[in-house]
Amino acid sequence: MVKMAKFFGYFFFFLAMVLFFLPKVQLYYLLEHEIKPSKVLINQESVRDTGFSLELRDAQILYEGIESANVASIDLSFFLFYNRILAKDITLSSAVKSFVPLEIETIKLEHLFYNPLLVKAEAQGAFGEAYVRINLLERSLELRLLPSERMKKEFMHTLRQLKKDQNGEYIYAKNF
Amino acid sequence: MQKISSTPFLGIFLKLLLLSLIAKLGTLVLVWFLPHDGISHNERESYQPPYVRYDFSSMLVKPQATTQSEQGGQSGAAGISITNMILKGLYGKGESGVVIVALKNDLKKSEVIAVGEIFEGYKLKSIHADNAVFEKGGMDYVLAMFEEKGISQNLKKARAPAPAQTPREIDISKPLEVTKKDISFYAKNPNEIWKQISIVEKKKNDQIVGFEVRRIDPKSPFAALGLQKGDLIIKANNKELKSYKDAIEIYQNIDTLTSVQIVFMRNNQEMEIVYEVN
Repeated sequence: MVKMAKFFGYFFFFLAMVLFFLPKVQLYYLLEHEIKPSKVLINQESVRDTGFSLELRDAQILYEGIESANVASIDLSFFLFYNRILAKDITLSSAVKSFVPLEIETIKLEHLFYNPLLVKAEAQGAFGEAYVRINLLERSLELRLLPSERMKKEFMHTLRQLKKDQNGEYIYAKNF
Repeated sequence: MQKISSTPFLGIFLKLLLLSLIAKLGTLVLVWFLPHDGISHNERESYQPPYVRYDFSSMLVKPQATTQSEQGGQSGAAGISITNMILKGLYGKGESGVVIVALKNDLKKSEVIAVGEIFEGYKLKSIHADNAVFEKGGMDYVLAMFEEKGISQNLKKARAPAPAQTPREIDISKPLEVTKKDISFYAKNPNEIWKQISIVEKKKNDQIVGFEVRRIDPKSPFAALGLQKGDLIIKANNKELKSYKDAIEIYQNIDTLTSVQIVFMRNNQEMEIVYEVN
């Protein structure tokens, strides 16, 4: 029993050291190259390795060369068993000002080891609250939106594009 | 007193140190295979000047009289469109030489025009291998050589209107009016746009070369904008539309624009429409 405890102790210590020494900045560069074919680009960001996570500051997100959003900070934490991307203070491009409020407070993406085929995301902002579930096996995405009063008042034309359920939530589903 | 070397902590510490070293070495090997630079977006500088439209009519007291005196007394110049002219011959290159031009309705009566001279209100600017460039009202018109196959092939590239081709007889030679109210309405109701008009990108060798009008509701306000199904929009406000970014930039500034100029291809002819936003 003591030997087993020692083994797991050393094993987790080794894992922690691997995570600590992982070249996160270079891995982030690899990620940038990987998402390039999808025409998504993270630009003008300052990248910092904070030990167990990676921090991006003042990033500009471009899609097909179009400036889509500015993000004050993005925290990428990968612990094998629990992976998280947390983005704060997001301002969307003025190109979409007719569709949604531009300010988003937080977006959090989570991936847990005991449910590897599911990615969960949640976002809060001037638009209200949104909850997203991405099923990697079924390649499906479901978004549930709880709109704010401002969203209901000023952007009803966008909400009309979504399906409304009995609880007053707006649902968008897509297969990819 | 027990020596430190004989305590179990030293053994544990050494094992942990060894594990740390292995982890570090493993990650150093990984660095070798990973990219050392990220991707950054570099904005390509555009050498195209921004589109600016001047209304000279408000600056000149008698613009018509000035034009006529320059032409040596020719009358009715303002009413002749470049589409009614044909280029029968050319001699010279660049800014020296002469061309032979005539009107479609009187092919036998042709005139020899030198660079800098004016014919029916159009000033000859330059001569090229198979076309001549005329200027009128600050805009360039390219008149291609006349071919015997037909007059329809004559004008390969003219930034001039073809009102007869538009279904509702819209005269696109003059600026068309668009109200800010309409722009505001469609900006707030984008789904209404796509009900009435369908525009998709057109690619050549995986590069966007323009945006094609695939469908247009003849009863919608978009039909009154002079566009037709099949038109390929290639420029807006003198900016080539080679990406969604270019199109979005025009859209983003639409509220602040007082005029919008679009250049499009129709039946292999380059045409232009100017909209005044009131």
